[in-house]
Amino acid sequence: MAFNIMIVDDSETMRTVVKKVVSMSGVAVGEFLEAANGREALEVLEGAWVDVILSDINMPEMSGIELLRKIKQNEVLRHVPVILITTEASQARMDEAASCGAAGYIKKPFVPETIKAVLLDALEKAYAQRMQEEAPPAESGGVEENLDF
Amino acid sequence: MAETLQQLLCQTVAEVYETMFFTYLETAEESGYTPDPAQVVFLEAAIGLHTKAKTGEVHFYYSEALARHIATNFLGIDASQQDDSRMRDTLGEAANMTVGSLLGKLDPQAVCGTLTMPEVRQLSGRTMGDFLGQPDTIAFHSDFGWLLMDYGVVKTCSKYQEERG
Repeated sequence: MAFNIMIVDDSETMRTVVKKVVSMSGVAVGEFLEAANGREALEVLEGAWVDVILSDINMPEMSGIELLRKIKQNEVLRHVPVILITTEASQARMDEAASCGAAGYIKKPFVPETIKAVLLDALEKAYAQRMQEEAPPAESGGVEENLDF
Repeated sequence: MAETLQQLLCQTVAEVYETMFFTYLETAEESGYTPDPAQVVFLEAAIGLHTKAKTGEVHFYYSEALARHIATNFLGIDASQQDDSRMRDTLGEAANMTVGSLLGKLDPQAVCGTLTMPEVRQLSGRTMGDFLGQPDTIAFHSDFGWLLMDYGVVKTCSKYQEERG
């Protein structure tokens, strides 16, 4: 199973680096989608499905936190896990992100192993939540069997 | 564990540059080398820090070879593929990561200060000697040249002052 991953960052350089690090991490990627800020991300999401979003926090026009809030308020998108990547490594910022519904938080500097662990954890939880809400209990196969990373 | 702001800063710089830019930096004292005052400063990256006590900038001054090496490593490209725009972007990210990471360690509750977007400027006619010897400037050595960091504004972080005296 390959995942469509959206990367939101106002720095094109950082988007390139995150794509490389995700690719190096071993997570199966279907397609990368990119946006330079939260507003642009919402526009892209009107016409494309993504499995997970990796977003910077500090961006012009619409921040990562505001993007996260809008996604959680959207009936169609609310299950899409949003992982925030930032240099703002304070506990207060992480608490704020968690209270807004962030699926994970990656501090810069980061290594591929961290990206992989947080991505897989977020995808697994999102999958489990969707199954719980949308389908009757599965008789066989669990999340781990269905998610072939 | 770092006992002083300068130790914490050196640890943070080393961690950020090694993890994200695959570049080993150590202070002039640790390396045993002395920066050449005549060496040209190629680029300056600056990031604003607003604390309760003061608003100012943390400055990073790069020699050309080091700036190019960092950008090449970060992007995973050949030196021939590099362009100035991406190099500036990389040095801005480096400033953001370094000071953001430092603040996260100094001030876990994020009450101390906030950062602005980094700016990268090309310097003309400036040398390392213009910045060396300043009270809050640290020189970091690498195999590709020098990085000078002026961190004076970080000292005004009130949280740090309260806890460390």
